Amino acid sequence: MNLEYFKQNILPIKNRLYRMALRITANPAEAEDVVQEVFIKVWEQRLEMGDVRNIEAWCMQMTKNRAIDKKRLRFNQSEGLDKAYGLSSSDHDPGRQAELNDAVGQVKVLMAELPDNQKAAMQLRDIEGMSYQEISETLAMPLNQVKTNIFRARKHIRSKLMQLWTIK
Amino acid sequence: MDYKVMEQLLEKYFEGETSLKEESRLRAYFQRDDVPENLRPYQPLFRHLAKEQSHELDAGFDRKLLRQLETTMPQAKVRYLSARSWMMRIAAAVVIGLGLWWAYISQNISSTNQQAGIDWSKYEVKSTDEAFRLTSTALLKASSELNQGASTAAHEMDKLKKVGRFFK
Repeated sequence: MNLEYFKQNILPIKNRLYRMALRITANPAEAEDVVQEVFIKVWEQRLEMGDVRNIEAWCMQMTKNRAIDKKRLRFNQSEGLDKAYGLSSSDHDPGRQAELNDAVGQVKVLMAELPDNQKAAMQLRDIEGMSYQEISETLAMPLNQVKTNIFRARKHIRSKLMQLWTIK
Repeated sequence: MDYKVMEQLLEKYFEGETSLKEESRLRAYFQRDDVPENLRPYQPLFRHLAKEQSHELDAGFDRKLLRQLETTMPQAKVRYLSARSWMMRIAAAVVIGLGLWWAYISQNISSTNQQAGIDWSKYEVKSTDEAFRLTSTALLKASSELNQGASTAAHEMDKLKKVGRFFK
């Protein structure tokens, strides 16, 4: 793998990776750091990348793991501070409160609350625009299970949207 | 007209039967403000999906990353072996070692035995009389062995004749 190959084939997936990291960390600067770290790792291991069957799926998996690590680290650090200053999570998150009041924000919360497999499959389909086959390879999940997860996720969101609309 | 088509597409979407192109069409449609009343509950979903798709890294990211990659050397290719593979290798090395050790030891023993056990000077013939005596003894021994062989053969033939008579 040379730099030209990297620019042509690896770099174009940056926004997919960024959005995945952003959904997990909810922090643009951290999400950007995650994508950069993943790309540097790919470049460092470029001699072994020939053995990887699907580089995009490999990058997605690594992005997910690193983003979770970053989120966990921040959570542990902020939890320590919260304890020190006697704060609870609802006291200092006005952004989340505003999000819940907003219909679009409510959908974001609804999607975040889906079971992991359903959430991942729906995000890759409806946000990343991946085919069922690509999702199957990225998540290492059988094709029919991908379809079932997407169907269930959409069905759940639909029923919640109807409930919210009725309450309004 | 547009509204009817969208209603059908929406049903297909929730059944998990839409193509990527149709899903893109739905997202675009729900960005409008004049969505009919009965489709409004779904508007936040498609607006949320479109909003999520808009998160992208800027060109500054590419420049920064590529500069860093140009100075990053590839890591040496590391091949990880399983525990079983390691054990097989160690076992093979032990077997080869033992084989070499055994070959070395046995070669040393046989050459020492050969060197120490045979003193050929004792068997050297020193005079013609001694040579005649040794030759006569050897020929007599050979003759007696031959005679013994002939009488054994005659004895065995007698036995066979007896057995032959028994079966007549």
